[in-house]
Amino acid sequence: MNRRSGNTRAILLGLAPAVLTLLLLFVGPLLLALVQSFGHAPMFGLQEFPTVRFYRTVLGSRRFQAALWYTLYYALVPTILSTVAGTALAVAASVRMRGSRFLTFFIRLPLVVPYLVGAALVVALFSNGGLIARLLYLLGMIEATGDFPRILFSAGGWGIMLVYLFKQVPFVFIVVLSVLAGMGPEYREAARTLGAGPWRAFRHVVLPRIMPGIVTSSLLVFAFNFQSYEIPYLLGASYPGTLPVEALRRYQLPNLQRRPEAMAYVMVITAFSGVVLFLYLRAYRRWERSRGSL
Amino acid sequence: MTRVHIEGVSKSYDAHPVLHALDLMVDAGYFFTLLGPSGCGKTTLLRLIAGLLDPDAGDIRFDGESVLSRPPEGRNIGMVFQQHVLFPHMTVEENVAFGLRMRGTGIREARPKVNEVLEMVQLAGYNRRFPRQLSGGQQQRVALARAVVVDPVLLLLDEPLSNLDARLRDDMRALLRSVQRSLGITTICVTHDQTEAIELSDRMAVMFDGKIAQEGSPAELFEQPVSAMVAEFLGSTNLLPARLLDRSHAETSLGPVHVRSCPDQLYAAQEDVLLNIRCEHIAILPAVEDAEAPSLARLAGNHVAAEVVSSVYRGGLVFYRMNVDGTPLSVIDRSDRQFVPGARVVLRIPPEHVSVIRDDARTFSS
Ligand SMILES: Nc1ncnc2c1ncn2[C@@H]1O[C@H](COP(=O)(O)OP(=O)(O)OP(=O)(O)O)[C@@H](O)[C@H]1O
Ligand SMILES: [Mg+2]
Repeated sequence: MNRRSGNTRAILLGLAPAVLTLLLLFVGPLLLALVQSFGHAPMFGLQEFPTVRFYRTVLGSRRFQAALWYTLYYALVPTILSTVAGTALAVAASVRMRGSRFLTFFIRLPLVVPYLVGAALVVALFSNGGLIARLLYLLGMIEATGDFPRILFSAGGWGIMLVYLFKQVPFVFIVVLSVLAGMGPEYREAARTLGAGPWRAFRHVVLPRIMPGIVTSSLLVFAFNFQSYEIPYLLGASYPGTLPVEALRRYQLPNLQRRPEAMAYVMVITAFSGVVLFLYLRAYRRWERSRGSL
Repeated sequence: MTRVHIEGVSKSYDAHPVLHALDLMVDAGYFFTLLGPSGCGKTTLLRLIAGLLDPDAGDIRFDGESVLSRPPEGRNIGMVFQQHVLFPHMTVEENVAFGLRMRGTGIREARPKVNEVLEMVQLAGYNRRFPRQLSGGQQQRVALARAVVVDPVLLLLDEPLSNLDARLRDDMRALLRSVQRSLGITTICVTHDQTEAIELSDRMAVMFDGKIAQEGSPAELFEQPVSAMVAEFLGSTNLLPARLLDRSHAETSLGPVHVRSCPDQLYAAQEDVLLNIRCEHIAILPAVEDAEAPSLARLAGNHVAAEVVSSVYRGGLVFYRMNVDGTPLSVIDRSDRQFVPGARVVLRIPPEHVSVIRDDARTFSS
């Protein structure tokens, strides 16, 4: 027993610097944001802790509600689209022999490109003076490059979603493809010999097997989309912004006394995405347990 | 019951040819076994029959009708795969009912039929289990139940016993045979285990490198292999280089040996041949102490003097290596007596068990 606890102590001591650094880096700022959001910010001359004043201001505003729906929209729509498309492409790549190697190669390219480069690419292609607008103009399909439908900086947010899809379809693709590769073709083939057509073999046999990959990748995609600010900041409409964009805007206000509002935003984002991910995972676990797998 | 006809079927993976214009006919209701070494194309052939692969050339017909244009789900085949692939997210019952449900039967209407086949494979009451809660042998039996529940016209078995231990294998073999008999389904079973093939099948074929080397009843293949490769593949045997003296005598390093009547083409060709003498067909007689070592010339009926080199006891049998004047012979004998190395014995080689085969340069060794 002594030896064991001694060992444990040695391990803990050895790990301590790393653990402390991690705590400092992750939990520290979050705690700081938490207390600030409740009014503890002596450096800005605020000492009202605890108060929910800032939450009231934030949650009560029109802007917040618009931003919340907007954020959900940006998080959900690209997540759903990229999950469906990435899964479909992965299944296609795993089934068809010819051309699937090309598909696998090209579809993975965006993974090595940073999001910001993706944004620049989308601007170059889809803005009103962009490549596609000019191409359509040259082909005589639009009167002027300015007639090209407004995709970027609009409330529909197609510019943002294009960037997300550009990065996230490949992400879902490689995750699902690796699960499929590990599974081999036998399940699908067994289903086929038992009388299932290609679609039903997929739905009843392949899909349940690749579900963990789909769930994991869509979770990660959703979490990223919900919390990231740079693409909506660059390509979104000026009103409303997404929650992270609104948080950033609050943070950059010259009036430091309003900074706790930014922190309230941050806490709402954290809590919200935490709850969504938790519910999603729990629902999935439940389904999984009912299927007896894993 | 369906007759299966495979006609000149070829298949390559990329540029790597696997099957070469293969012909095979399996009669309705037969239990047919395909025997061959690993990688010779057995699974490939089954997958072609099932429609999971398309042949590059040739035709596959069920009862005379080509099935090449039909997808796997349109061929009404039951298949048990090499790696038992029960659907892990479905219960035993859902697994077995899968084929019925794909044919439009509801899970409730399917239940009586499911229970019936589960009983047939001795798994009544296991409906609610998931595959990972079953032993390997039980999983294999569920796979069999799942394949036969839809009354397929043809049952394809890809090494159905390969993942089982020896005892389970015996049980499963008996079960396979009785299920096949009672349902009367034409069955093609793939294996690389020759005892399995011999015990199970009505007819069998030995396959090497994507070609059928020989096809016939188990006894035919066992007693009259057409080549050294087939003879060696079917278990322990002695192959002696020989020269034919006449239709029923050959000259060997043992001396002249009386053989079973030689096939016409071989005799006509006057080639150097091989004598195939299976180890278990050679009888051991204790040597008469005072007599001079008997020689083949002196004793009628293929008697030859030998010395025991080594003996190994294995499962109720003794495997001997014998030395006959410098020529090694392998002999398998029952174990109620055991000769020690150095003992002198007389071997009797029954002429009716000495078959003459072509010396095909022995390209294969197992
Ligand atoms: N999908 C594939 N792509 C390329 N080559 C393959 C493929 N499947 C099988 N092969 C090759 O084809 C040959 C025959 O394979 P097959 O699976 O039919 O052998 P088998 O007789 O079933 O062997 P085993 O007894 O080991 O199962 C092997 O050389 C194998 O490497
Ligand atoms: Mg195989």
